[in-house]
Amino acid sequence: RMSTESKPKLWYFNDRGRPEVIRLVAAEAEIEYEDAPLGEYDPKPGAAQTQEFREFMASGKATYKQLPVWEESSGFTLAQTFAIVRHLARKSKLYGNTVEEQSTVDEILESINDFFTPLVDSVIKALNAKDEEKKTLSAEAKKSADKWFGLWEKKLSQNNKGQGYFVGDSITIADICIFNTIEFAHELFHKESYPLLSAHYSRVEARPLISKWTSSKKRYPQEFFF
Amino acid sequence: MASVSKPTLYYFDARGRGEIIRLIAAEVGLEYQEVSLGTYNFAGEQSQAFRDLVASGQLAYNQVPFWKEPSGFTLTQSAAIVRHLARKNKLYGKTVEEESTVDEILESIGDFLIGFSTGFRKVMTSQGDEQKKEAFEETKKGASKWFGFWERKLSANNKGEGYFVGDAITVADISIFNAVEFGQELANKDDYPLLSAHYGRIASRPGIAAYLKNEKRHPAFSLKV
Repeated sequence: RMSTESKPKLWYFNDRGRPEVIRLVAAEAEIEYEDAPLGEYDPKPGAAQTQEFREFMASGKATYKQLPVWEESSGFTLAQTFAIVRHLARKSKLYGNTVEEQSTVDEILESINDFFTPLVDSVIKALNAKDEEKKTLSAEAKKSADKWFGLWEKKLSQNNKGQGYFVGDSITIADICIFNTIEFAHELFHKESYPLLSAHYSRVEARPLISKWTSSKKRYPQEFFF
Repeated sequence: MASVSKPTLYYFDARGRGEIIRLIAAEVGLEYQEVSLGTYNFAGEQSQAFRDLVASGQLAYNQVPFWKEPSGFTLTQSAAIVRHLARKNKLYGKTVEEESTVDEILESIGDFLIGFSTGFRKVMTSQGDEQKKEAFEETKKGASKWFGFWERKLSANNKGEGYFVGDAITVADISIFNAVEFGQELANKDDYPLLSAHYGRIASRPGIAAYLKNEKRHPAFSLKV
């Protein structure tokens, strides 16, 4: 059994947030790690955040003063959610089997970022907003979601008629990142409008290692933003 | 009729999100051809050429740049094309940790570019000098923290006297060069000595130096009034 010392640490706040995709990939990749929470996230603009957060920022381990940070026992640290996701993919063959497959996985990850990054901004605004503004933010987010879910439905349909994975013939981080995106934006996803995506979601969810994580008591609760 | 023996880059007549691809190709001596999608329109519809390309269904997300290889393999999303070229040309580092650090730097540049391109768009669509100045100041505020992070990141590798990652050039170095070139009006070179020296080293690499002098290179846009 690996000692606690040798497990990498995932530094973040105590919620799912952006790094939940890392936790899902680690589960599928069977990469053990230790959650290193830095307290509750305060979404108010300019919030000081917790003492633990401030101390971590002062430690110099957060290269861009952002979370999450992935810290290995060797001292190797990595910032940026999607860099960490790719790192785990490299260590576990979840990145596709050819150069072209890897690059197509990258294209999907980048497209997810195009949707996810403005969504996170909206979500933070919504957490601070009154009902009226929340309604507007929700409508904008729904519009963006419809655009991107439609594009991913189409992308999926072009690989093995959408009956399998996003890229090639085996699971990659593209599949897991799409699953995470839909789960995060669950309030904006209408299953009936995206039959292939919905079926894909269920297939990913049913994978033994994924379902072991999603039903784990250690998992932070589902988030509701709008 | 475009030849199918070389890869093709479809993009607007601008540096924009396509420029990093051109710089990487210059560094490795990759021959490719370009299909122009006309002048980029900040406010309103794009060219017929762009609309035809979208209508052809080849663009996974209706976005460019679009990269097409003679094999038929196609790719969009500039950051994906950058990694693709890195893989094919040994510009991605030598170990898993180096590759992942390259990715981290690319992601940080992506963060910078989101703020920069929003500010750039505001400047280009400003009505009058006052608005333009305001947009410039706003863009400057967002950008300077990234220069600071990159200066520190660089200093942690071989005292900042070489490359960003490991001991050889990677797409991280070329992408930082591209980002700094875009944002050069937003910071004072003297505040970032390592980054500035790195910039000079990349600019003088034979392939890139020749490209920077090429008359066909699309011009830069100034953000200043």
